[in-house]
Amino acid sequence: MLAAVAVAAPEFGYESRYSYDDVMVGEVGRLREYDATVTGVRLVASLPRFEDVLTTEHAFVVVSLTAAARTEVQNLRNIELVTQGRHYDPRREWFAAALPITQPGFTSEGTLVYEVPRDALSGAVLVVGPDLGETTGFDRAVRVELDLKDDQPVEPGPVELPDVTIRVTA
Amino acid sequence: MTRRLTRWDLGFVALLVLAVALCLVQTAAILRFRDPQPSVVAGVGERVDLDGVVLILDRFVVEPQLPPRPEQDPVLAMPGARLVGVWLSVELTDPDRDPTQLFCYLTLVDDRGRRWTTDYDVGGRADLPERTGCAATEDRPVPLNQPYAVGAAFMIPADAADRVRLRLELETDQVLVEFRR
Repeated sequence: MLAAVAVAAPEFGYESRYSYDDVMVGEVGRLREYDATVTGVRLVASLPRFEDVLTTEHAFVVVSLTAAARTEVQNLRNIELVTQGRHYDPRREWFAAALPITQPGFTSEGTLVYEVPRDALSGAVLVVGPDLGETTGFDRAVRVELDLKDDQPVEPGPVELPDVTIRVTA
Repeated sequence: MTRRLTRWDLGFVALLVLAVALCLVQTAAILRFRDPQPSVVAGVGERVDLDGVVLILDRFVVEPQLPPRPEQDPVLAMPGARLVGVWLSVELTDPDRDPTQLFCYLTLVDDRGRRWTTDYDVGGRADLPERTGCAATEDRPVPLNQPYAVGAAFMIPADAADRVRLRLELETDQVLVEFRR
């Protein structure tokens, strides 16, 4: 019986601890500690990096989003793109454009860049998760449908990433 | 028809009571972790005597701007926000305490349950004490029986300006001190 349970039970990874708020681009998703909204998604083939331009044969998925912290400071580092069973972290080259640490009562706006094969774009979602602490428990996350298609046209670029902004939440 | 309670029944009840008790203990621990309550409350200028450490909040300023360091540009809050500057006096009075382990964490809280951490960008530009922590370091030793200044800066939304309180947590003592304006 123990063997049957071990085989049948799902892997108890962090994802199974989340209950999801499923939203579309432009809609506000609600986590326990902050609200997240994806404001735009672009596919580009090249992006500037200091004096250079980085080019990919795949697609840079450029996601613009906002985060409004409610009661605790948020690091906003637990945001990944998931598509066709694969998980992608943001590219570190453009971390300066990513969401900054955001204090309660403030809304930050930033950009995350993911590099994804062009034939794996269909069904891609952005999973915006809670800050990961020393322990993880059951919590809420936001899952944003990015509405991308396999082999969708990709802008040649390069495109400038907007500056990070912070403002008081209205 | 009634039956006599067996030892299995009593055992089940005992386990049930234990399970409920453990749930309540865990819930209380989680609530304490998420919403810790101060063990000491003091005002500006009031002396707080802890175990070999004396604390005094000298200044607690909430303004649209803070005084800048020499030759720095004015330190201004963004629209709709306020800057908070705090100046603390800390004194180690117990020679048996290890000053390198005197870790203190400063946060601001309000009555809406919001909690802010220090803003190092503002703190680096405002005319605050150089020390941002209570513990001794190699380049900043802590003298015995001599007060030294610790400062911190925060940025908060303007709607919190009248209700914020400063909390200082001494990690090794597990003591939470709250200072009110």
